[in-house]
Amino acid sequence: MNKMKHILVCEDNEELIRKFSFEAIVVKTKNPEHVGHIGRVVEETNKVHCIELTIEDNLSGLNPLDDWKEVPLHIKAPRMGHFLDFVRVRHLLAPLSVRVFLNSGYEETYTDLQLMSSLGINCGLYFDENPINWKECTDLMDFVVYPKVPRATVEPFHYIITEYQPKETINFSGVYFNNPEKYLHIDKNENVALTAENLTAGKYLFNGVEQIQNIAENKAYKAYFQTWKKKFHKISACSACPAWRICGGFFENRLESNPGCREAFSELIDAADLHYNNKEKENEKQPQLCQL
Amino acid sequence: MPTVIFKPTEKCNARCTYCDVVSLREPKTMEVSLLKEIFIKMDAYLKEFPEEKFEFVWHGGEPLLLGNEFFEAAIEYQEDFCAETKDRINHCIQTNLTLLKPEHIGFFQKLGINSVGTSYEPIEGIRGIGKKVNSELYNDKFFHGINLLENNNIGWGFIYVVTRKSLEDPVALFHTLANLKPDGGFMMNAVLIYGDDPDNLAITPMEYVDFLGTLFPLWWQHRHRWPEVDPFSSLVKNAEGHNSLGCVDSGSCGYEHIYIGPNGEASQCGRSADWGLISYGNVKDRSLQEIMKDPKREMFFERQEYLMHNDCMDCRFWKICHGGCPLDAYDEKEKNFDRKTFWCELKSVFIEKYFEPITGYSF
Ligand SMILES: C[S@@+](CC[C@H](N)C(=O)[O-])C[C@H]1O[C@@H](n2cnc3c(N)ncnc32)[C@H](O)[C@@H]1O
Ligand code: SF4
Ligand code: SF4
Ligand code: SF4
Repeated sequence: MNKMKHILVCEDNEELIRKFSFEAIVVKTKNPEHVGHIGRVVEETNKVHCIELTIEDNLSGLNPLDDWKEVPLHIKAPRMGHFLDFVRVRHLLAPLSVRVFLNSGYEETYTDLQLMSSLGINCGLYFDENPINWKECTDLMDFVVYPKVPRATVEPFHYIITEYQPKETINFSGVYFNNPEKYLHIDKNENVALTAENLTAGKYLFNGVEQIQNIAENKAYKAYFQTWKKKFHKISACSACPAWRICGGFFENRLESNPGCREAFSELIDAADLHYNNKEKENEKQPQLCQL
Repeated sequence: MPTVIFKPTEKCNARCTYCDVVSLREPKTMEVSLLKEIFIKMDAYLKEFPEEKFEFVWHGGEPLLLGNEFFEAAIEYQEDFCAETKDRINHCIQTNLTLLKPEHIGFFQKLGINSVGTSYEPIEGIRGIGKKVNSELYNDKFFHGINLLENNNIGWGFIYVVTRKSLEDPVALFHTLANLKPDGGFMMNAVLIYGDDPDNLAITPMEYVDFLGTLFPLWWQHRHRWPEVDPFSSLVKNAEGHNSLGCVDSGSCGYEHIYIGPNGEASQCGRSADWGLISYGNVKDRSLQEIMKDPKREMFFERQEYLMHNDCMDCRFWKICHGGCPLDAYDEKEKNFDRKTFWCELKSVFIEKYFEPITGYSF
């Protein structure tokens, strides 16, 4: 049992999952048929935090199954697809506890997410090696942070806006189950890594699920949380970025090939600030009622 | 509360380009026996003045160059000789952190130091180690020290020294300082260079004003993000009627400071000792009561009287300035301090050009 209460992120592998007990688990699968079943396997002795289903086709081609109702679900699809087909899927998704992520690399993704949010589907952007359209991304952020009517959430912007604290640095990778403060990644050979990327690259913390309970003492684990300071040895693009405390250098490796994060996220931090201040003011305005 | 600026060593492991310590030929370090005397004398002072406390600032040079024995002795002497008064000795330290080891954490904890003052510089070639002023190595060790502090829940704040190189991109620099310490806690001081300036680091007071003026609107707009950034936050506190003045502006350092150097030499502060301007004798020969009542301190009070009726008469900034640091006002020929300093223009221009129009406050 892990004392620090990390949520474990693993593949869709029953043998591995049955080695855990009393853990909260995220299972990544590419098989829509497996979602309900793997959820039940986890629940035997553990707890489903979420099932992450990655599909290769557009969301509009998806056929949600009845037993998906039982699990919290993330769906990663490259794009939304044709609107009329999406309307059909939307009805099937509506009763589920689901958040749909679309790939940032497609032009229409940004407006499709606005549409999905307006139609009440919690959704978000996910980033891979594809470029980000920063102009569209900024419009999407505006849509999220200045809503004219109530809408479903769009990640990671909703997370950033709601978690923002003026005097702290936040890490939005948790939206993708990839923040080592909260999540650890494990493969079928019980190799444990800090992030999904480290797991893929073979950069393991250790081997063996039983070692997770001592992770607080693990040198590499502790060192990870200090690596950001390397960026402050000199003035760097990220150290000097107004949005550092809501981004933490998430887009650093695309600064040259796909610049624009600084401007977009600087607007977002200003919006987060405004949101925070408004919330504070509203709290101040609340009348003090007596305890009943 | 008297502040003891305690400089037990002039030695340093670093070679910051602007620092006088680097050029000392024979840097001195205090003997442990003298440390014992200082604790005995602090105890006597505190017993005579039961309402008083000491702020005891470990300074240097680099105080972490002192061996473990020195810190162990300080802890022991405080226990042995200040048994009844130790709660009224508040230790602080100003260190470059590059030599911080786990055992220092234990010393800090025993001395009740729960927050450390340090210095940070992200521009290469200014703060560094060795003849080549290796900044990469310096910052590597510096951040190692910061990690050690944070892992032990010890807070920290830092001084940033503004040099000519800082003027190249003040905004990028400011974000770097503010991002390093999201909850704030740093001050930006102008570099002071009185002799040669081979690295061309000196800045004029007006350059410092414009540096601050570039950053002030940014800070003001987002001040709840970076609350404790000086000199801005102190100015705001003062404008709002809460007194928050450093020694330079307080007009009262004459009543409050004692410097003790490595050989026990007593002076007003580190600068007065370095410049050989004010000597209060030696702690080996005098009690702290005598040093605190030294007749030479009168000249600080006289200066205040003089300025109020002359240079600074009717100045609306008097309450937050008091004519500036007496040492900056020293006239070699006249051998006195009776004038305002060259920082006067700086303060008034900054406040009138930037502070008041942006904040709407008025002094
Ligand atoms: C002399 S050091 C001693 C403590 C320690 N070694 C350190 O660097 O923090 C104290 C502070 O004085 C600053 N300092 C040194 N020389 C200076 C100068 N010429 N002008 C302004 N500040 C200076 C340093 O940057 C440091 O923040
Ligand atoms: S927004 Fe870009 S420049 Fe700013 S911290 Fe993030 S990755 Fe770095
Ligand atoms: S570390 Fe401090 S004392 Fe040493 S050279 Fe640098 S400023 Fe001077
Ligand atoms: S601002 Fe100038 S005139 Fe006013 S108190 Fe300070 S030194 Fe004197």
